[in-house]
Amino acid sequence: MNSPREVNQDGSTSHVEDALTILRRLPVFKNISLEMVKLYAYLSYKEEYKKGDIILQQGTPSDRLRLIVHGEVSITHTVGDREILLQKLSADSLNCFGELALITEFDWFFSAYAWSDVSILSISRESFGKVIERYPETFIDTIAEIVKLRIDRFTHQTDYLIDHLEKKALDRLAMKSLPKNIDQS
Amino acid sequence: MSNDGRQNILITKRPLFYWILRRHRILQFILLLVILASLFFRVFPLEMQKRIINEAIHLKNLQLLYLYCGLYIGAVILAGITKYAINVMQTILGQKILVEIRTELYDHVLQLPLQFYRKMQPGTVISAMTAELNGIGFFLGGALAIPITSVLTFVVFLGFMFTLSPLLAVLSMAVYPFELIVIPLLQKKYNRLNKERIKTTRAMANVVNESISGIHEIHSNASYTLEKKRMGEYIRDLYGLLKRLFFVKYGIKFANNLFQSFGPFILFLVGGYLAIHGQFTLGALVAFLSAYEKVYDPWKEMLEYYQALQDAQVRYRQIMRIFDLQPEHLLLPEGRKPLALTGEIKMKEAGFSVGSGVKLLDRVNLHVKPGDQVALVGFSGSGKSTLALLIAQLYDVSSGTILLDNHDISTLSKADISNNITMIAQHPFIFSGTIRDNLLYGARALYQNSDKFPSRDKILQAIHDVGLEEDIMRFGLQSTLTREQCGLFKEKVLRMRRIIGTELHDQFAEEIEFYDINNFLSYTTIRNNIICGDSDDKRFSIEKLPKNKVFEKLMQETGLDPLLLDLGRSIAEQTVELLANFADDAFFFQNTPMLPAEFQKYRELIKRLEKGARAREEDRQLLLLLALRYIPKRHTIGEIPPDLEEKVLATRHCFLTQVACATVVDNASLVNMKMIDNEICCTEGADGFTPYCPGLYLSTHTLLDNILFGTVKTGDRLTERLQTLAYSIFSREGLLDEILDIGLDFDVGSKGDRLSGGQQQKLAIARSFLRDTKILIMDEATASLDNASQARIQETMDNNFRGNKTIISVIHRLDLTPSYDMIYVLKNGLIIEQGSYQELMARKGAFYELAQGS
Repeated sequence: MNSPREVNQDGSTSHVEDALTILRRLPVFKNISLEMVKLYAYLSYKEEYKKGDIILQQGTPSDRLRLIVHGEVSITHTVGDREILLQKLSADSLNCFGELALITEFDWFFSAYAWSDVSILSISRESFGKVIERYPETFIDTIAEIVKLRIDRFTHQTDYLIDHLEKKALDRLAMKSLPKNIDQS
Repeated sequence: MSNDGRQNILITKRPLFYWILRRHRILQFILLLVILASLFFRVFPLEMQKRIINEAIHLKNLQLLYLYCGLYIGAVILAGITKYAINVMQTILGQKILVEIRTELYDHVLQLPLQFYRKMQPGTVISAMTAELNGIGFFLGGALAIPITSVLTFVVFLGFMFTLSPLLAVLSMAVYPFELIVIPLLQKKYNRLNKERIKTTRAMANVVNESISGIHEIHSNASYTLEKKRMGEYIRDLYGLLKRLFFVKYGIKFANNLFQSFGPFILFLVGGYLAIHGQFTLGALVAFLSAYEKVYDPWKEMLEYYQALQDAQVRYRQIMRIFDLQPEHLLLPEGRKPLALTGEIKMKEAGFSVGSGVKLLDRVNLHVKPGDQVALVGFSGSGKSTLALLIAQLYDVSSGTILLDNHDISTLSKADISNNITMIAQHPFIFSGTIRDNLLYGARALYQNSDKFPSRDKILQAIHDVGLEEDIMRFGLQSTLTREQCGLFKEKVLRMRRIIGTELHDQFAEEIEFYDINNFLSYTTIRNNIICGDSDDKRFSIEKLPKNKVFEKLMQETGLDPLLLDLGRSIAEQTVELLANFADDAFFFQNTPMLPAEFQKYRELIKRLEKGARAREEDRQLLLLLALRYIPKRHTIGEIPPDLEEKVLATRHCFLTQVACATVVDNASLVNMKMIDNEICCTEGADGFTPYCPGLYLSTHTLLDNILFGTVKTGDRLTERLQTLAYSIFSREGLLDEILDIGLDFDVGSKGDRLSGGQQQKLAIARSFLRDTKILIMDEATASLDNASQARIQETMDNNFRGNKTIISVIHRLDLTPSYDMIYVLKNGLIIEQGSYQELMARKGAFYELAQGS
């Protein structure tokens, strides 16, 4: 029944300042004016998840970008009744997901789970849109950064998948000692 | 009712004097007597005048002087009293007659057929029923009394003058013939202008009515200037007419006055001459002059009466003329009780055409057996709705016959029809009032005091059948009940609260933060955290708290005061800085406790404080307000002091024990208090203060709040999942009906505008189900409902009504037709196909084509 609140022991806490620091870690928010980032920080929300909780489900409508503050998040893809791990994200590297939701509406094409207890900062598409329409000159650059982010992620995921596939194929090779076609399993 | 024996003349054909001569005759007679009495008291002083001068003064007789003066004053006073009585009686009489006219006219108006209302503008009807009738009111009271009095007075005074001096009397009357000619001419002109004025006023009322009805369009098209111009023309016309009208009216008065001035002139001339030559006493001359002046009054009254009569006649005619239509059917049957039909309908060569000869229906033949369910389908304009309206006797056939149980429909009274047929229109009208009022509207009219009046169970069943249950649940849950309204109910609510708090605790805890006196609450305001309760008179509400001296002292004791001020200040500073350029968009204020409208105020406040000015009491209160509104998990602005939680809890404890005086059962201290087996752990405080205690009902919160006993974390709605769970518990605990009952008292707003279109339609359908008549006619009644609702209503009709009710349904969506016994396909007013769904599909004719297309 009790919701734990994090109280900074050295003094007062300010959501805006905390969020600001976190946001600046992303290239998307690094090169824009302080005023804009502050607004994003103001409009962002904290979310907490326990280990094993589902953060978002493939197929449901998308609405926000999420940044990992603490913990690890696993990204999976479901085909039929098979669910495959694509990536594991942590607070240090590639620490966000759902960036495309800022730009447009679509249904999530992956799922996200809390691999450990996770603390997240999120910005909704609506908030993003409301801020950026006041600074139209930054629009193109911000989109470019988001696209770059997506490309990075896509590359990372593909690498991971190929490794995974190769490993499986090598195993099979070893077991059946048959060469040739690498399975698309 | 227009069937009464005494009113066999149609109301609109009655002349104005019908009302005057036939109503309240006794009162009118009394009025007449009083007038005659006052007449006497007005003549008497005249005689006294003469005697005072001629006898008392002349003869130097003091006794007589006193006597005559005494009598004089007595008579004058009595004359005044009777005049007062006359005025009052006249007004009362007039209003009484007006009441009758109004009531009977409205009765008549309500029965006029639909065709009348197609052409008549509501503005005209309103204008006629209200303002225009008012104008006649005063006239009616004195309609008989005044002319009689005036004539009598006139004659009496004239007679008196004659007794004094025939010559003078004749001379002074010389002017009147002239007036009798000139004045009627002017009056004719006035009448003409008056008619014009009435027409223009009505047109103006219509324009206003139209504009307001179509205000939607006006806003969408921003056609304000156009409308202003349109109205402006009428206003100017009216002004012009009124001006001319009053020119004429006062012109008549002026003419009258002018003629009258000649009288005294002649008198002084001739009378003086006679007096000088000793042929006329001074006393007589004075008396004569008095009498002459007195004669002027009744003449003036006659003139005014004449003008008022003309005015009233014109207005009355204008009003009655527009309603001069015979209602087509009697209200009640003559000589028998209203019929109870079985629901058999036959149409033989029935046809309906409109004025211009266009045939909307042509030679229609059909036979519906009792209990059948019949569908009417066809292209737009094929006559389906017309057919439905004919069966409901809302239109009348132009040719052929319609038989209900072998009775010709044109011979049936309205009571026969309404007792047996219910019609649901495509665009139902929702009256202002509660949902319950609307649901029972039809039933009330029909079953007023009989035992067939729907019971609560029937009402709830009807709501369930049309799919309004969930909506009404929501309305019920959003209501705030007073302590009295709760009653037994309260126990169930608290029991539900307990179930959610224990049995279903984990499921609900995901979305709700339960109230807990022991812990800090992050999803609700600081104010709720401190006060942790509500009082009936709301004296601890957020707005009032900053000004509350007791509270202030408390905060200073616990050291919370500086913390909240700091918090408030940081919130204000950061909000003002951050939203400097965004204050126009309410969206940005979601995350701050500041309201958009307050932005300016706080901006100035911060500016002042930054310059180093001292904080005034006002400023302090403003900052405190922000801090009190602050919700830790929702608001993302402001610097939260490190020991805020601790201090808040401490203040809470002090507040509850010292200020609100909520005592704790069994001496458990508030700080260490736990829910003792979910029983009451504290009592109510002083002056109706209720803390957030699991065992106490909060009368300032909604029903839902009381059941959930906590704040919904993400905004204000529960997810589907929890809602369904909650409803199933309500059901289990037998609370469902009670909540629905409360929901029925929801006010729907003017014309039902607080309900969505779908809700309005469902309400209308439920309304008609509750009338429970043998025949039900639905004219595309489910057209604007979603598929699920349409299907549900169809299901009700299948299960409950099959065999019991005859149903005639005008349908657009052909996929709903398979369950009907018979389908009639219309085109251009003719029935081109008929049969069951399977037959018609197999035939591959017009129906088949229609079904493919839709």
